Amino acid sequence: MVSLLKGLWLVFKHAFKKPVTEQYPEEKPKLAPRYRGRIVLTRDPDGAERCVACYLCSAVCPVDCIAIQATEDETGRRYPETFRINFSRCIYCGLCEEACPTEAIQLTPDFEMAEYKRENMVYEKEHLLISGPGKYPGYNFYRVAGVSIGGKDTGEGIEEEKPVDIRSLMS
Amino acid sequence: MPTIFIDNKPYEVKEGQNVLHAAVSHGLNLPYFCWHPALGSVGSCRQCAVQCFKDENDTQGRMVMSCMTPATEGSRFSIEHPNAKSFRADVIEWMMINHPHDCPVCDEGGECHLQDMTVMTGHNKRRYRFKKRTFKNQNLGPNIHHEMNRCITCYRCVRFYRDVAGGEDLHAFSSADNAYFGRFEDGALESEFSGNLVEVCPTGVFTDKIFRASYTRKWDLQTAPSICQQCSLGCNMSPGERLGKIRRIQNRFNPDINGYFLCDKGRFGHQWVNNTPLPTKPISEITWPLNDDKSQVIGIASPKASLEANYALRKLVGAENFYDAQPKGDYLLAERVLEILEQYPETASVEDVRQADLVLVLGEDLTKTAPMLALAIRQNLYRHWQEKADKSKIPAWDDLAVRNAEHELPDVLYMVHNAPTKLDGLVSQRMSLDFEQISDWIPRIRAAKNPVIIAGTSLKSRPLIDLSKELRALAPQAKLCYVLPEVNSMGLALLKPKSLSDLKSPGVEAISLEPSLKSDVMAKVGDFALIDAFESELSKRAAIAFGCASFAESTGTVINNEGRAQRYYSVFERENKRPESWRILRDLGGFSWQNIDELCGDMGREFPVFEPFFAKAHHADFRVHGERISRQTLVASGRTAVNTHLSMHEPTPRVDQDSPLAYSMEGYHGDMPPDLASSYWRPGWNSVQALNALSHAPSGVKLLRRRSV
Repeated sequence: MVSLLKGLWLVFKHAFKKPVTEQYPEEKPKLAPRYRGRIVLTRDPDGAERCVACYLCSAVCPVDCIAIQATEDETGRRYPETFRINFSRCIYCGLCEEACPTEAIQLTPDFEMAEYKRENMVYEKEHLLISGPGKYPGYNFYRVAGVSIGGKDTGEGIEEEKPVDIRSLMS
Repeated sequence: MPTIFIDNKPYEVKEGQNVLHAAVSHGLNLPYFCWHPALGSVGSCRQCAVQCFKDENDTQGRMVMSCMTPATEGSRFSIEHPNAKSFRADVIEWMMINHPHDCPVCDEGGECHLQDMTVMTGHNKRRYRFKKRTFKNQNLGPNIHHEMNRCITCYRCVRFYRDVAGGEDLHAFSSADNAYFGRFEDGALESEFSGNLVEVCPTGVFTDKIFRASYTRKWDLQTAPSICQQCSLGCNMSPGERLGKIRRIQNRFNPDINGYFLCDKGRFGHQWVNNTPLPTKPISEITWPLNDDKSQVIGIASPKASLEANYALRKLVGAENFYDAQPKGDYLLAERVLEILEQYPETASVEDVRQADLVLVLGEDLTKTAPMLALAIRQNLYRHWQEKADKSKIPAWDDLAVRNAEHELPDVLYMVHNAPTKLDGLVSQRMSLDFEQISDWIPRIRAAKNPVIIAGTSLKSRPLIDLSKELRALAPQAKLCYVLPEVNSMGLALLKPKSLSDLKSPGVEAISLEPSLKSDVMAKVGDFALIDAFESELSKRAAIAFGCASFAESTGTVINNEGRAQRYYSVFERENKRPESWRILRDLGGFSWQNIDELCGDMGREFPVFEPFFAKAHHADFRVHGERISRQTLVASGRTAVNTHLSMHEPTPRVDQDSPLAYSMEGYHGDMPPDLASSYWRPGWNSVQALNALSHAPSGVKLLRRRSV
């Protein structure tokens, strides 16, 4: 009898406590910037695609849900012709972001991706590519890489000397 | 076999090896750059330093370059010694001072020897604060991409290109920190072996331009052991496929034939596999336009098709209706060659050409008709220098010393040819094609210990073939080597087809495996059915055309010019899989073969000459530890996304009925039978250099036996 009353008292007390339930669709949760949600492809500070189609994210992906095909523009700049993520397989582990050498692939604090059809969970490059640099504003891989691309010839990168004149004796 | 001690553990090594070669053969992780098993040592990169000890009581030791140190009995070394370790780490650090930040966009990435060695030595941060030296790249033609910034100056490229392959247009320019490897001016590399630079270069200076156009990392390529289809030598290679397209071809080490190298025709000539496939329909859905009685139809065999396909055709139309499409002259030559080889079955492999002390070339321009034989002759001359240097106590692997000690052209290459060939500079005696003074050479041939007589069908000259036989009769120790027109010319000849020129009743209906029928042949046959992989002029003219799987999508056997049977395995299956040509013929003939082994069983009973190969070839039910052998790597990517733009359904991998290989990343990945291994990998060794620890290599089965009289 005593224990019954004790239990009732506890329930009664809780009726006056502040509720812990979050009214999710009406109230959005506050997520950390590093929360691992929807994956995006970012652009470098010059506005060009950051992804260089190196295949590292697809290699590290434990569920193999990233499919890439590389291609090059006429100046030798490599970029993905296809970049597809099957979000119905993705486990949002963030290994792709960790593997990315150009800060192109990033996970965002957006988790509202539910769809009625699984087909709609397949994101192509046009769905993934955003217009800004995401979490890492400064980095531009092609400025520090040795390959020449349109607008940056050999020797014009950061920390690069002008090309050597191999026929000169003055070196 | 001497025993050496590395880190106090005894290792048995081969006589005359250097310490580096011995260590990497035993699978030890000792970094190096300038050494290559086929190029020898020059000791220029300083990467393979080890500590060398006087005896077991010596704790101090001294540092030596392992590639320049002979592995003599009882000598003691340490790879793990702190001195050697820190020295190697410093060397890598110097090399990386100017190495660009390129790996994500470098085609070598993931199979880069420099990456492997950098990880192996532990270097991970550039301490050097100054700017990187850069170079302008050159356009080296349609096959090779040049990215000179990545160079670490190991000199392997010029050593291969100039010293081994005899090329003249790749040079080392400038000096010291500015050393540059390229041509005098932009332009396609002239050597037929330029593609090997891709594999010889330890980093990404020379990369495959054709691969670059549709680039995929090494780990995403589906590979299977295959045989080059471009000439009759049957070099072993490993094509890589992704998403239904052959992307590139890499060398597959076979010491008897191609060794460490491939010619450019073999390496870069693969995009035809990606042509428009000829569609096919199941036999049940077609109306057969030709005579229902297949014995009234002739079969036109093809030396480009597999042994299985030609045999199935022979079985379908009968031996008396089985014809070879070659012109009469070529047919007679092939017949003659086989007749000679049945009398003298000791044929020379490419390795025999490398080892011979006399090479007689009768009317073949080898650089064009069988390029790897031309390379073998160059390697042969170098081997003579090695042998001579050995008498002066210079080890064979000491490349610079051997080349400094010997400059004289060895008396090895004798050539009968009128036109200039690329081997002319190496010829010690030459004669025109009428070979009137051939008797002058006979004493030299007789005196030789292991001469090789190379002849072939490219000049379509019967007298030259007969000459080779006569010379062979005079010198019983000689081996014959015939360069034939196609990959399976020998296999077809062994199936004894008749010549189409002898066709009695013109206008007869035909089933053809040969996709390039000459007009005189076309004039002889009436309506015909064609079995071919790709759309062509001929396929449009055929009464019915069946699309079959190309060599890259099917498993089959080919027999090379020396009578060596080798099997190539299907690399991939197209989305709309087309049956192998022998399966189309099986359905036409109503035969019961379910897989290639059943067909080969029948063929072996009918043609006992093939039996030794079929007995040794891995059957479809062969398993390693109960598993099929995987065609994909363990880290193959994109499985759950490659096809999702078409369908969310993830189909189970198709089952290969003809081979013990699986179209999947699942399966066996470890040490496997050499005939089934298509890529090389060891922990820490992602580049082709992993093959240096290989203990065994594929060999195929030599089939020719002396005909019993």
